[in-house]
Amino acid sequence: MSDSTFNSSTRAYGLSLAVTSVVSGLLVVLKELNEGVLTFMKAITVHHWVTHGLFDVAIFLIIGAVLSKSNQGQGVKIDDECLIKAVTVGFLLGCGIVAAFYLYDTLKG
Amino acid sequence: MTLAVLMLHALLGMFFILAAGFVFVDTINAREENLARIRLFSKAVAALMWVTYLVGGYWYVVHYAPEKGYILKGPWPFAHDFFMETKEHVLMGLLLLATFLPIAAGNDLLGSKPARRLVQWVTALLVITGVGVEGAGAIISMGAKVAMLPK
Repeated sequence: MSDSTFNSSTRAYGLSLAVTSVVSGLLVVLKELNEGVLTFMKAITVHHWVTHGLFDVAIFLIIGAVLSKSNQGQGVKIDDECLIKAVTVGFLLGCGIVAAFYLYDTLKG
Repeated sequence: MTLAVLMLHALLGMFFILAAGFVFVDTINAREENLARIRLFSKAVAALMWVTYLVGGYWYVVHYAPEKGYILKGPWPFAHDFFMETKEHVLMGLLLLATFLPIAAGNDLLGSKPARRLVQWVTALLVITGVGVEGAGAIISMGAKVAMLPK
């Protein structure tokens, strides 16, 4: 489990990427279905899309930084294959949530 | 000027896809001689994606609203409802994936097969998703065009 050939930054930011992609996809659904969330995001910056982008970058950096310092500074433990799958599946899942939601919303009319 | 910003966004996106494809192929043949080039181009991919995102974001936030109005009243409202909405949010994941590429390329690409596979997966996803996003951009442009054609 801990025998990874990847450095700690790769393990940390790879997992962070997977988590952030999915969270970002879920935030799309949340803000589109909840007018209060959308209004709040519009109020923070000039546009809800700008707020969404800043939120994504912030949680990507924060989760990555926390995971890279975890485990007494050695970084999060995950084996190579699991990380490759997490990055790939996390990214595709995030894109899939967004596309599926807007496809449903468009077809619904 | 507005169209120049839009064309710059599309052009930078194409360069980004080409650069990511270059890293994918170069990583298949990773060796001592091209290691520095792989890492340099990985940084270029991330930089191109950030500039593409910021230029496109500026156009979207400042100039897109009138075009959106035309598209929604035209015969192809799905060009905005599905393609633009999906594109603008998938782009955020693409930005993070491109940012991750130089980190992944910093591993031992010569000695570790998983390290090469990770870079190949990341670049493959960047190219495939990037082409999809470029295609969505074309449909959005067409959605605006058909909305402005005389009836």
